[in-house]
Amino acid sequence: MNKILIIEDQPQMRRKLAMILERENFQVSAAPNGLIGLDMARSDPPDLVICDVMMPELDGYGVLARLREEESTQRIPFIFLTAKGENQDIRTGMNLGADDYLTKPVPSDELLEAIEARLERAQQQQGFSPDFRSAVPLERLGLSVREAEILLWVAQGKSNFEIGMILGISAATVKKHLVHTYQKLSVETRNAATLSALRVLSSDSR
Amino acid sequence: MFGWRPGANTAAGLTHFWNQTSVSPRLLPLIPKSALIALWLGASASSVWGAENQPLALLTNAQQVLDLGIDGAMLAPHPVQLRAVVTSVVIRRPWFYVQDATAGILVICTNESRQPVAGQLIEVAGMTIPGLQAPHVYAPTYTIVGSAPFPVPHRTNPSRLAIGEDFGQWVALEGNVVDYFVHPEQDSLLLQEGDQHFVVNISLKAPSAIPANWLGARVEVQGVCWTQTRADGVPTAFRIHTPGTNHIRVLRDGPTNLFALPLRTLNSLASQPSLHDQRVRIAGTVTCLLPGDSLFLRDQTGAIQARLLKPISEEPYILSVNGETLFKDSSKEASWKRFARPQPNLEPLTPGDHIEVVGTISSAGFGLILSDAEYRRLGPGVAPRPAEVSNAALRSGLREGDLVRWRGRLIDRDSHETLGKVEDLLVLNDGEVTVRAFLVTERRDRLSPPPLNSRLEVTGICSREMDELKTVPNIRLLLRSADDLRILSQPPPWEAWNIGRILAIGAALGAGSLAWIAFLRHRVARQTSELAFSNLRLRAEVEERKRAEAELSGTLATEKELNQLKSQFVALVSHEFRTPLGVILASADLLSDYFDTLTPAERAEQIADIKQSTCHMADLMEDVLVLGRVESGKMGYHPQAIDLTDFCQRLIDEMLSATSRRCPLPLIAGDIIAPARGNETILRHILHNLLANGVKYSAPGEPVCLKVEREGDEAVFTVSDRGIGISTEDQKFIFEAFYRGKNVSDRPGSGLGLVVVKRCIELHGGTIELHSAEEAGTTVVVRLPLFRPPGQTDLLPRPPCVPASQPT
Repeated sequence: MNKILIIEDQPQMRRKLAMILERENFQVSAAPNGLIGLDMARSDPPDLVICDVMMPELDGYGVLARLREEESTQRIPFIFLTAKGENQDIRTGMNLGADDYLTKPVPSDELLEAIEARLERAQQQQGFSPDFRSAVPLERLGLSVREAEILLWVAQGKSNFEIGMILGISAATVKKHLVHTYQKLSVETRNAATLSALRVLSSDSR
Repeated sequence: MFGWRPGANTAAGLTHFWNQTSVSPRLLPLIPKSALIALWLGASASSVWGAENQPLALLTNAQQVLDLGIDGAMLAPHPVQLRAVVTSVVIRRPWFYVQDATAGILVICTNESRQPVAGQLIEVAGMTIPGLQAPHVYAPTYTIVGSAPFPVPHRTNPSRLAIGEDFGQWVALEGNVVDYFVHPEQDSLLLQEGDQHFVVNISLKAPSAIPANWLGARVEVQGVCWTQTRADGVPTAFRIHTPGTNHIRVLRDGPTNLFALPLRTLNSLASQPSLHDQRVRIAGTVTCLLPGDSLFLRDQTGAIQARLLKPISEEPYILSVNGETLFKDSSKEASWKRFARPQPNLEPLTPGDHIEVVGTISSAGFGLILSDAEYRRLGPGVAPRPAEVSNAALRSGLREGDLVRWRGRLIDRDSHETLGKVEDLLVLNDGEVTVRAFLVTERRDRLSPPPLNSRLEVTGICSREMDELKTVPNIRLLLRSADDLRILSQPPPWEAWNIGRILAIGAALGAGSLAWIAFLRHRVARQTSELAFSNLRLRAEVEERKRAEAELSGTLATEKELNQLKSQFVALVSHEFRTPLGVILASADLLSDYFDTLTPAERAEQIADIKQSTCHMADLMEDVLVLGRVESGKMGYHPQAIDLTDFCQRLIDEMLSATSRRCPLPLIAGDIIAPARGNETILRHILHNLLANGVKYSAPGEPVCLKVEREGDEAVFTVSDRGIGISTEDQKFIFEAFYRGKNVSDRPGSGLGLVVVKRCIELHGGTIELHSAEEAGTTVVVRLPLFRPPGQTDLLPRPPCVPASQPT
């Protein structure tokens, strides 16, 4: 059973998330603020974290940054669930290395889909220890700087829309670059491209 | 099949097959009937299917593989051994197509490092695998046994292929060449036939190059059809793989001359979306040439940017100034670039030249753009005259891409240098419209920027771009050179002088006059006084100018600040709405998706949460609306006579019933005889919010006291409670939107009540004081000038509120 940690300061929302996830057979723990959440994640690393942004004590950005600092919690999939829906907020969240950024109100099936997708991806990446800090190794696949940059985000499971947000370009441009990338990697699907990227990024970090 | 046909004993055979097959009967209903029958036919024909250790029948030709069907191939891999000619090889993919006398199939071959060549006769041994479109053959390797002529193609048409027919078959079909693309490894044609568009990939590139007269030609193509399908097998598109240009036959030549396309007018292009992405021909006058192979032209009906055909570049063409994109190439999302024709020998152009342009029309931003354009110079013309443009035309985009002339006052400017080029931004305003003019010059031609407040005439290419809030388009003018900027009038020169200089001059003049005095004391005395006078006047004038300028820039800054505040507020409000919405949606999801697993208490909790969040949102909306009315000035100050004691009593009665008498609300009214003059609505907002806060943050039964008295011209309202109070720290921010005290715990509230109160008091020309300490209660004192004589009230000052004072 997958363990999920919910960090959310709004008590009603926290309780409801826990209720929904428990009913979907997740093992749920919940924290009312960032500091407690961080402690819980450190002492018993969950399989996935769902975190609000604006919280007393330590905000969501702070939680994410600290989780990413430590070896034991570095790879835990992290989803922001927040009322901050401005493009700039999403960009900040993604740049910090969040795996997903959901804006309230979020339908439960969308939330569950996001969770499944992140868990699945985490599974996929097992056996690889990719280093997502730089896109430079990907350029060795014959990609341009921009293409490598985009592939780096694809390998982290981002959608074209999200990548567009992060890099400040349109989703259509992302798609265009991806078409080139697929051709250069001689792959047909996003998954295959991800695998090639993970292979390169892992071998490099070793 | 294959000479054997099911006869009268079909039913018996099927039963036999079911008994013999290793497929569990439980699964049988899940397997499509067609697959079963295909399987059964195959099994019957070979008569060997049944026991698990017995091999399946060997398939020896392509038709047998196809007849297996996807479902049949899904059920079990069948051994295949066949000999066929390679019809097409897909670059960079481990598969190719073969065809024998019966049919064509796709062969996947992963172990061979080299691909076969089309036309080779090969022997393939492997097994069937289910594909998306048809069964394929997976063969670890293959053997070349010689070469063979290409099979006679199966004649077909695009509408058949579009519904998924003939996958993998060697076919022949006709179409018109609409466009072509090159790629380092393969060329492609875009063909059109009726309403079908499809791509033909030509694998053998070298040494073929697509002849120029193919564009617009009608051709017959022989190749292998590849059908693109969705995951559920529904075809979405198809393309043809052909091994080389020798399999393409020109039936009718295209125009060798691109410029034979029908001539269009620019406004006809805008009104005909069906022409988009097609090559069109237009004729017009060059208005502007940009570095980087781009030009602007206009005809009688409009104007457009044309991007000239140029070699493959990975990066899209963007011209940006000061980090702002001026013009952007919106090339297709395809992985090809449209060109490859030998570059036409383009005559150099100068603005004013008459030219004919052929290019692909597409929409970009607000208007159209002509990409991959080629032109032909028709003759010289006179320098293009800019269109005098009205503000309405600027805003509506009527002049998008055209050379226009406009006048306005310079209100801001910016400039920076990159790679030896200077990019100047001039922000102009004519009191109605703001225009951002850009000029890119070489460093040596650098513009000496006109002083702020100068009235300028600018000439340039007009374009619009949405601003960040996506409300009004930004209007931009791209200036061609520094000559496009003309200073109509400058602010008086002394604006640029400083007092020191003026004084120095004054002093010099003074010293000069002293010398003069020595000679002509009498005359000079008079002149000195005149000089001193003019000096004074000059100084006064400078001061006046300075003050005006400061005022202007102050107003601009205030407006900027207000706009910023407004967008911050909108962001804040949306955030405040999202939180209760999140709770409502989560509750609704729990009720709809997990109803059965919820206890009655949990169900009731969801409903209560939905109600509470909805009420919270309604309150919030109410406060936002009130605030909006106050801010927008819709809630004007219309004073009328009010009996304050009576008014306060009514308010208290309302509050008591609204809060179910949670706290007693004693009213202490001083001796007020004269009727007050004020706005009842505004007054109600103020007192209602303060009383409601008192009740909300007090324990039940604790009194919340309202005192009203007169002090001179002012009415003084004091609301005091013994509730939870506001900490000194929180008092600093308590009048900010959405700020709530740290100690409110779960008491509902929008964080807007006190903002409304503050704005209403400002509107009334009053002040507010707040005295509070945590756990000790809060006292709010509001002073409003309600007893001023009527004439004076119309000129109410709006002093700033006192946000908070020390706790008592």
